[in-house]
Amino acid sequence: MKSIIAKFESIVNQITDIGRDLHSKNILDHARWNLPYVEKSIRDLPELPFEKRASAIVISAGPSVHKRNSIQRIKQSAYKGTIIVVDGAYIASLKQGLIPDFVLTLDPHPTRIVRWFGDSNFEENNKHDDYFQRQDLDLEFRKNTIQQNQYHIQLVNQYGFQTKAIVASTAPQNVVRRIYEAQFDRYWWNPLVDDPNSEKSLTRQLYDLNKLPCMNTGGTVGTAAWVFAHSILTIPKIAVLGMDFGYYADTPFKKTQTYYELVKHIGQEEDVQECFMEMEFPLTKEKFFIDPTYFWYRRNFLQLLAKSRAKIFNCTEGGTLFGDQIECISLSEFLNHHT
Amino acid sequence: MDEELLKGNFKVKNPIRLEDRKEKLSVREELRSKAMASLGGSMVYMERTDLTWDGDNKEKAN
Repeated sequence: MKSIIAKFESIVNQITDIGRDLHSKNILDHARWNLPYVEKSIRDLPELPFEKRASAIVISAGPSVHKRNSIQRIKQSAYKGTIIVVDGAYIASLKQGLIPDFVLTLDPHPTRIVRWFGDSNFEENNKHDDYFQRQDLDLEFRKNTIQQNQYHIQLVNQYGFQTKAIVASTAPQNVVRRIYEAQFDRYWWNPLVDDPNSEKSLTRQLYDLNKLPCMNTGGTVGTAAWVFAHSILTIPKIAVLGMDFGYYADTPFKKTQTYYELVKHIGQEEDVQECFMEMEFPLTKEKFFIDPTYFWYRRNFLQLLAKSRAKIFNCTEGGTLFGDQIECISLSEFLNHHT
Repeated sequence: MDEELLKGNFKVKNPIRLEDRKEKLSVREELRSKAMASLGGSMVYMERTDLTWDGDNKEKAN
């Protein structure tokens, strides 16, 4: 058991370096390319109306969103607070008739992220990549049909102008083009990727380039969305949902998002079960398991939450996110008693 | 080894396309990069960094 934990921790500890090696070049290249498009920053956001200032729901794109019908339940409740969605949950929200106030996009991946806004280069970007077949964020995206993508393009074009896009300077060109094309109201920011006072800091290089305010992301757009609600919008009461940071117990290992990458990383398929750890969700006592990448996201989120000293409501109704400053309650309880 | 020995003295019917190997390498590199993209998260995160930063004069940690 000890060696399993050691192996798991060793992989988790390598993720920061893997991410830095992977993203460092893209971060500055994308920010340079995006510079002419930067008109407004998150400093320029207009003040929210009273009811929107009081509370917010941050919708990430974990599988619980579909299993628990979370978006539909919010829509039916006529919730009056602020709705913030990550890019991967945006189309799912539109399909339920829920038009979010804000959508965040962060990931610089050149071919995948644009799918969340409808991809005008769908067939080419789909080649050699089974990401959408394996991802569990929105199972609808596994169908991957040209017709479905076309429908998504139309949907985003129809409703985009009603939502403010909170766009990272690191966004890839195709995502920026789509956001312009669909006429989102755009507000830019930089990801805070290291200590700005360190030598050759990437964050400082980004800031010197575009003077955009920087937000920490914890490595993932869902965490960035919470940082945005807490630190930029300064909303006192925030609920998160779809923030599973893990898999339902009946998910086969091979269907997890990083299975093949982990096999490649550790060298042998037989050892791959050592890369998963079981956790019990305190509200329901249901079992979930977590892989190193989700564990890394979870750890980063808990570090940032501790730093903020804020409290949040976790209305995911499952998953692995719990801790001292997190009150796990049902979405219905939040909607009925905390708004 | 005498370089003369390594020289061919006839022309092959189907010329070898060096690009094929390059293309294969590029697909392999692309696949590797896609694999790493899933494992390494959506963005760089360093421990002990603040929630926000807006230049030296406006620095703040919420």
